[in-house]
Amino acid sequence: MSKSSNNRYNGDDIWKNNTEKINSELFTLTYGSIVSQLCRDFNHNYHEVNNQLDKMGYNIGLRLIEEFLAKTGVGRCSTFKETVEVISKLGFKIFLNITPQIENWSSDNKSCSLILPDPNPLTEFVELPNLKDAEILKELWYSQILCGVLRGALQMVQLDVDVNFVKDTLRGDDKTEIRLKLNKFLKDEVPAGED
Amino acid sequence: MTIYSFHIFDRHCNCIYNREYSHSSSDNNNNSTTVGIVNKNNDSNGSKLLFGILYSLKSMSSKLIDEETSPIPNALKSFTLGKFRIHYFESLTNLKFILITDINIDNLQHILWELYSNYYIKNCIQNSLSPIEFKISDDLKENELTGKINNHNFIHQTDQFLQSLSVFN
Repeated sequence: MSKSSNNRYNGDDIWKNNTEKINSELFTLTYGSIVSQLCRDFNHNYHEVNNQLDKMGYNIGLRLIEEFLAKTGVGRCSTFKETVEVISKLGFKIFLNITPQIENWSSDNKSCSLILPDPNPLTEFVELPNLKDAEILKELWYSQILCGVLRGALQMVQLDVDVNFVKDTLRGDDKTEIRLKLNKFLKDEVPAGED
Repeated sequence: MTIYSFHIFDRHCNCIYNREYSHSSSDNNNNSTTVGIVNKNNDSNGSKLLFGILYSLKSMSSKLIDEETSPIPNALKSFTLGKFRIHYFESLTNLKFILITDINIDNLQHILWELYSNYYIKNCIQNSLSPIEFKISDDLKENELTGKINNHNFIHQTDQFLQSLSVFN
């Protein structure tokens, strides 16, 4: 997306006029019950729960990106910096109505952090039961599904990106931070027999 | 003014949808049932040639412009071949939408965008029963039988949409 056309896309307008909305409490509670069900299903193996949430998110991301492109009409970004800005100001805005801060760019401009604002819509009302199970604070990334969504969506626009949580206020950290790291641009596939 | 056919290619270069309209039924104008064929020529040489032309023209057109200095990348939109004009739109996710029409129709970019942003999204992407990967491979069991868009609503709605256009007949 070019700088000049940047202003054309307005996350606020799309959020107001062109997004199906559901009750945020219903959303939070539904997500909470998914996570707790996964914890039970995988016998409180939180690494596996993280993996499953990531996988669910990935499959969501593969489809969500098309809806995102159709709603916003954005063109291709020329730098990863621009991409992350679009993710924050348009992506998070039109699907969750939040705008995460972008911080901590690495010197090669290939990795950065998204700081989710408080309250994170997925974790409102949530407390991790750390008295019963001390492991949960160290191992579970409660909102891991977001990482999967970003990974899946970016893969479909030919960006191979690693996404993971490094901090979560649920664990007692000072902020909720997602780290993004660009590995490479994926090449278009060529038809069989051509090279 | 005529639309002859409609193709979609996915990012694995496979033709996942092929709709050819037949315009011979002039004796029965108010017959709204669609004529022509659906998903019959996906793997035909015609489809492969069409893809080949588009692929080559696309890579040529992107090389004709200096991407460093130009804010908007060069994009292939349409070209003519003999009696046909071929209209082309590619989404950022590498889905390619193609309409083949007669030579008098100038610009169908908005129609291609509508097919993608409305009909494809609504009937395929937001339909959790519809696969989004059409590549036939071992690790994608859900698609082993399909490889094509067989979604009735998608076929029906795009037919209606295209036939409602003034340029269709």
